[in-house]
Amino acid sequence: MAMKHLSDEQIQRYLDGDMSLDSEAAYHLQECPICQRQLQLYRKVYEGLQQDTGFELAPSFAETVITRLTTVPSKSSRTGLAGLIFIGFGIAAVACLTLYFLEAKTLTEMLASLFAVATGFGLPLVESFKAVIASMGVRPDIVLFTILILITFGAIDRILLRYRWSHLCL
Amino acid sequence: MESDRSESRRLIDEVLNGNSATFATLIERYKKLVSHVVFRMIANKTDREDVCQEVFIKVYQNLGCFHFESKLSTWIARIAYNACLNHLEKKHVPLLDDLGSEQDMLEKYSGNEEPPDCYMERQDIMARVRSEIDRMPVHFRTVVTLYHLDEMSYEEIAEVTDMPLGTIKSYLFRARRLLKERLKEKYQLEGIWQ
Repeated sequence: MAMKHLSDEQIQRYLDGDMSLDSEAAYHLQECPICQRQLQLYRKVYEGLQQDTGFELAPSFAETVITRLTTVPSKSSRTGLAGLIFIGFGIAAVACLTLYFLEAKTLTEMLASLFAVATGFGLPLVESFKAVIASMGVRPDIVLFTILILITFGAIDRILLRYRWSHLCL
Repeated sequence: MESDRSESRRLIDEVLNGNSATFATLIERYKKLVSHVVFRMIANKTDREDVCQEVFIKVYQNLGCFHFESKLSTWIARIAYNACLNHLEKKHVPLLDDLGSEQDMLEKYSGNEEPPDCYMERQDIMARVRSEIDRMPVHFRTVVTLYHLDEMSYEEIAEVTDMPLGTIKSYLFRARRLLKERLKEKYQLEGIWQ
């Protein structure tokens, strides 16, 4: 019984190793000069495709890139411990200031004293900040809430969004 | 596989800690992959090395955002692919999304050929295949390169190029069939086969 010639798809899948030929097809391939020729041509194509492009980067390529990197700002700081400490510290500082301005005395005093111990200049800084804001004629609590919101958004951006965004933009 | 992953993790951590010698190691490890993608996508020889440099600068800048959701090689290939697309867009190079019909392609180029005997003298079969690849649209070239030269799976190529699996399989099949037809035509012209 004469079998139909193998299709291009069958030959490609056979060469890709995605499919093995059944005995009838394998026998046909062995006996049929037309299919043999097709297979031979495809083998040449595959060999050609596996040949290297011949494009070689200069041996000093890595060195050149690293030299260029010294002039390029790095964005590669993974949101690590330092970043988290920075964010936490910022949020705590703003929370302390907010509580202070809202006159939640007990908690404020406690946090502010912690803040002062930690920095050595916490309370004077708070006083200076309060004086500057007051001299501008705006409500300090509004300013602080604005800062708090900005820092919170910054933290969300840093932790959650920047990775996804940069991943999409790559 | 797991050792690859832990090795990549070690490299990345060292680079993020400011070790530039480790970044040089990373460049050495992946420069072949990047050069394959760039070579196939960018025709202008002088632009190729610049684009390769841009790719590794982007890798460095975004390394902190790599969370092992894919293989490092796939992620770097994706950066290379997108950098090339951006470059081609800037240079207003048409991407030619399709091969058209294979017959059109055969006819399109058959008039521009050197006489077969001269061609035969200078180039071997492999070189012919390579020159045929260069004539194909960018996306086809990229897919065959990633599959055959960089031995990526369909899934990995889909991740690099953001194309559906079906499109990748179709591009690969049609590109290889076209190359086979071109080779057959040359053999027939040269009287090797009737």
